[in-house]
Amino acid sequence: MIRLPLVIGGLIVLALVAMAASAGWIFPDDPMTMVAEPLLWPGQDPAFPLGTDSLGRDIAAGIFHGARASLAIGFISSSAALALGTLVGAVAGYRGGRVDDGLMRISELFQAIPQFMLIIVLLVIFRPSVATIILAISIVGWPAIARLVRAEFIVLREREFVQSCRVIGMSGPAIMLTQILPNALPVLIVSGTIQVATAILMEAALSFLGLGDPNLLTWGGMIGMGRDQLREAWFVVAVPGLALLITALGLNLLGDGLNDLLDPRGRRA
Amino acid sequence: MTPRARRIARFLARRLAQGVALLLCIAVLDFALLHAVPGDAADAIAGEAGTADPGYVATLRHQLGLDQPLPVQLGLYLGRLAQGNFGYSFRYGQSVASLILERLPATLLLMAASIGFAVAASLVLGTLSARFANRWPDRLITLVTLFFYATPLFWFGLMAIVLFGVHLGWLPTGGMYDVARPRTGLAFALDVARHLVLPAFTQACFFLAIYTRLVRTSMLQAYGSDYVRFARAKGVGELRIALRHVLRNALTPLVTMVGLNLGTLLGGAVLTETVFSWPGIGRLMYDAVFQRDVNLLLSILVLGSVIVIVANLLVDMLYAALTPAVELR
Amino acid sequence: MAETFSPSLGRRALLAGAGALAAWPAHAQTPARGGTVVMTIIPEPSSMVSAFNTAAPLTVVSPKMVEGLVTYDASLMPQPLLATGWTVAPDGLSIAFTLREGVQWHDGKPFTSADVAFTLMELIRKFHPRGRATFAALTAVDTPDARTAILRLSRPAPAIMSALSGSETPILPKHVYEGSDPLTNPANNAPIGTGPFRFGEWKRGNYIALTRNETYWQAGLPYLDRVVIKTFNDATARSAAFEAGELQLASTTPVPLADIDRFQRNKAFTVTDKGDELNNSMDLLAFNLRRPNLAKPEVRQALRQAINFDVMMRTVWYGLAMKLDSPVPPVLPQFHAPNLPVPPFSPAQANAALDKAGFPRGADNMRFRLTLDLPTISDVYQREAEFLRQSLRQVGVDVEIRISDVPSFIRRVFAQYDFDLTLFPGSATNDPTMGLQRFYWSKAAAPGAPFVNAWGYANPEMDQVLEAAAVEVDTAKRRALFIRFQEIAMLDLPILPLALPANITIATAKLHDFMGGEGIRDSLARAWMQG
Repeated sequence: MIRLPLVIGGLIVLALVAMAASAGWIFPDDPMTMVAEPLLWPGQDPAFPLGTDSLGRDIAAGIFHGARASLAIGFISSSAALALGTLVGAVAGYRGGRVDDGLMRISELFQAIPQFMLIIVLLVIFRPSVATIILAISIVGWPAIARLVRAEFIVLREREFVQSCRVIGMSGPAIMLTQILPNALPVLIVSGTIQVATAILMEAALSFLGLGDPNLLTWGGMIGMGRDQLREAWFVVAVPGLALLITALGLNLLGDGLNDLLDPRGRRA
Repeated sequence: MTPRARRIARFLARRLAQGVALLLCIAVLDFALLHAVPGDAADAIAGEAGTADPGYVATLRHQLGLDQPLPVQLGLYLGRLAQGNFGYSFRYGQSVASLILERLPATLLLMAASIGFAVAASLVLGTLSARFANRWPDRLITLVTLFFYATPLFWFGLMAIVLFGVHLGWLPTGGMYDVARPRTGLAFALDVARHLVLPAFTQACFFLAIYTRLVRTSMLQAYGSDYVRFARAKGVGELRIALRHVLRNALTPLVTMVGLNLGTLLGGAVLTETVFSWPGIGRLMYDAVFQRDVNLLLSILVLGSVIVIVANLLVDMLYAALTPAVELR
Repeated sequence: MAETFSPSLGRRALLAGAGALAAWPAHAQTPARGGTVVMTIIPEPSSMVSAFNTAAPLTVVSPKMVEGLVTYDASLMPQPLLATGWTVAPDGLSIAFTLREGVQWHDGKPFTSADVAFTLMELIRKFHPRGRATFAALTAVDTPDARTAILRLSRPAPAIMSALSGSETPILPKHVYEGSDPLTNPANNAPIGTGPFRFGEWKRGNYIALTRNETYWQAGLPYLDRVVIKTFNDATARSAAFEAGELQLASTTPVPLADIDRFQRNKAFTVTDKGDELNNSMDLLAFNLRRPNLAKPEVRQALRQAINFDVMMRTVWYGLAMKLDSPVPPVLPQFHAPNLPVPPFSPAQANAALDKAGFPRGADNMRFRLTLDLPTISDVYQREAEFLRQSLRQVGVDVEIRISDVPSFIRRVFAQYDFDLTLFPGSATNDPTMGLQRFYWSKAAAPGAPFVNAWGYANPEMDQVLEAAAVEVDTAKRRALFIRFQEIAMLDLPILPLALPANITIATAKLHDFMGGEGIRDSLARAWMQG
């Protein structure tokens, strides 16, 4: 059976990865170079199909090169957050008791500082760069995932199939890994794909506040720098914004598709 | 006392004790974090002034107590906190408590309106999505909520201002109320409501997509579960299944997520507050970071932590209520 | 009166007038009494009095309530305000002020010479960020009677007469400040002054409301009933608020640069670049002369030649900035040196000079690598930094931009000297002794003090010229000294003056006379709203 969302989502994500990979070939020059008149509209000059920004840089080149940094920020930070969050959440939810208490209080320690503020403070301490932005986004991302995973585990560990595994003497880690985790996967996948998009958007918001990395081109940075032209040259924001939207859409479809594929219970009878 | 009530009381007592200990850790962590930031309030004020001789900076630093050793500053801060005294804002030259009280209602109103709207809308949209899974209503809902989600909040907000405030003239472009009008009675409430529409909707868009996805996913899961099949086999009506079994099950992740968002209550709206000139606490906190207004910042952070701890406690209790199998321990 | 620019004149025309300051002509229409003006100040001021903190927003809000001894006309000459007359002694060692009769503080107490003496000696000299330097020579203020205040100086200090506006040196009531800690006095947030408006209320993050001073000493003034200062933290939101009629006056380029053109074409608005002549905030690029490569003047000159100033003005500021060939901007014609022989834009010459200086291009086509530190101020600043980076890359100098928030920036650059290049705003003010000496005088260096000579620049001749100019009472001789100052400054080039960005003010066309000689720091006493 062909699953359309999975295919479309997969294709979009593949295309993005291809874009990021091929940026150096298609646009070999430094995408930050000022190459033309500033604020050329898309289509006005065939050499710059997506127009130029306020400094006269090629937006198309920016989209391709920006895909690299933006995807890296999205994927690396969410993988880190997802890995840590799942580990903590699973152990806490399954073991319960003191372990749960301890882990949850630690996660609360991170959660208790308002997320966006924590990111801003971390970026002020370490000065904004791609590395510090990724670090900051993962640090604030994991407790939420831990809580979600824990919630799933608390419910699932009481189910009959888990109880019966325990009765036949399966070890804790084995039950968690083979029995509970697959059942918790749907929520995990959905929040994982959302996390990637969130991270990319978060970077855009930081750029809007002037906390982006000025030495690297990202979609968020392009959107942030274009806010001056929001009214008069809206394409400067709209083009990278659209790239972001398509990315989020692709990730979401991919998440949904994988969800359907991996979770036979979720399918309606 | 029934055994259940006793259990709940024990649970609450323990969590409360933990909460206080946690709060102390957070207060110290916050303090350390903020003092790891380069530069202090004297630098910020002198920097704003455009110029200052070293004598001025030294006077300022002494005046603000920033020339004392860090452990002394930490001790003074914890001592003040224990008495419930938030201290004095370096920048505004006014008590921190009064500053916070002045700005808190705006943020609470904005967050309550936006989260409330997002929860209500996501339950409807998520249920529809799940009911028509993988058919066009589902696809449409996904696309629309995703569009709202993936559009940068500041862009969406600014465009909404230009459209509704400038071109259509239906709604005010910013602020919380009309300064020129009397601030009493129904007229004032309506005025605030008019000002609230755009920022609340903009802020809600951010939550809406996530909530809707969560509701959809967990409802699909619930529909596929054995007990729904069993209920169906027993001949329970669809509506009853949806409300009694499915929705209830689907609420768990939603409650978690809302709980998490309550935690970001104070700082989460900084972009919305910036774009809509909403006089909330997010912007106050944001500005305080860049002004190194440590007293103000620490107080808001600690207050935020109290909210998170309480929110988490409530979420855990709600779990127990929603899922009978889970007990408070 | 501010002029509206016709679209045919374009953006450049806006700046053409900036050098030649036209006197504000008396308005033909009769001013109307009453009305409220809603304005915004960016960012929200942190307090209401500009005596202990001279951040730009404070200097705009403070003069509405608190006045100075004098005000300034369009050519920046002092005019009577709280003082009706003054005499500078021929030796420059004393200045005698005659004070106005019948002036009352907002709390009803009379204003006397004791207030002037207390303000200058106890407040400005001790707690004003710049006042300690400006009034360094002030030893005493004699008050033979309630209407006379005589400033006694240890040496001539001609800059004092340029520093007596309400925004720079506000006169505060002795009876409110005496015996208190001035920095935490509640009156800093709810001032008691002599100005045309009284403090009403301040909802932080929301608005500040000022009400008409019914007992103002200038009978019939002010015309307005109320001034409301609303907080807006986003430029695009401000532009929408203007267009929706919710905002009527704002300075310091309140809307995105890209929107200015639209406002100029809209007849409902007055757009002007005038009004900041007392401040003149320039964008400067300083070189850390402790770095071996930057220590060579020929390297610094070469880097300057790599920058295409004309393109820079057009792309970074949409043409809304004036390029600088000297640290004294042309808007100060009494001090500006025209036609200094500065080398033109030429990447070829820059490349040749760098080769000759011993920095050939390496394997990656780069000669050396520099960091460029700047504070988070606005995205225009970031655009400017990116322009500089791309320009310098063209001549083989790789640049890493480091943006930090203001306090981190000040620590890094002005306390730790940890930078190669730094981009920062520097106010020339209306007198080079006040505004510029701190950047070029070797003795101004003081680790930890922001916006002073942190580049390690020391040239004995420069020191001499600056010190002589600071005490020179003869106008012509003083001008000659400042011309020499500019020649050395552009030859040594410890600082590369980049641009004087236009400080755009937008007002609804219905608002008249909102700028006196003090421009955007006007008290608004004569501002009036057309019905």
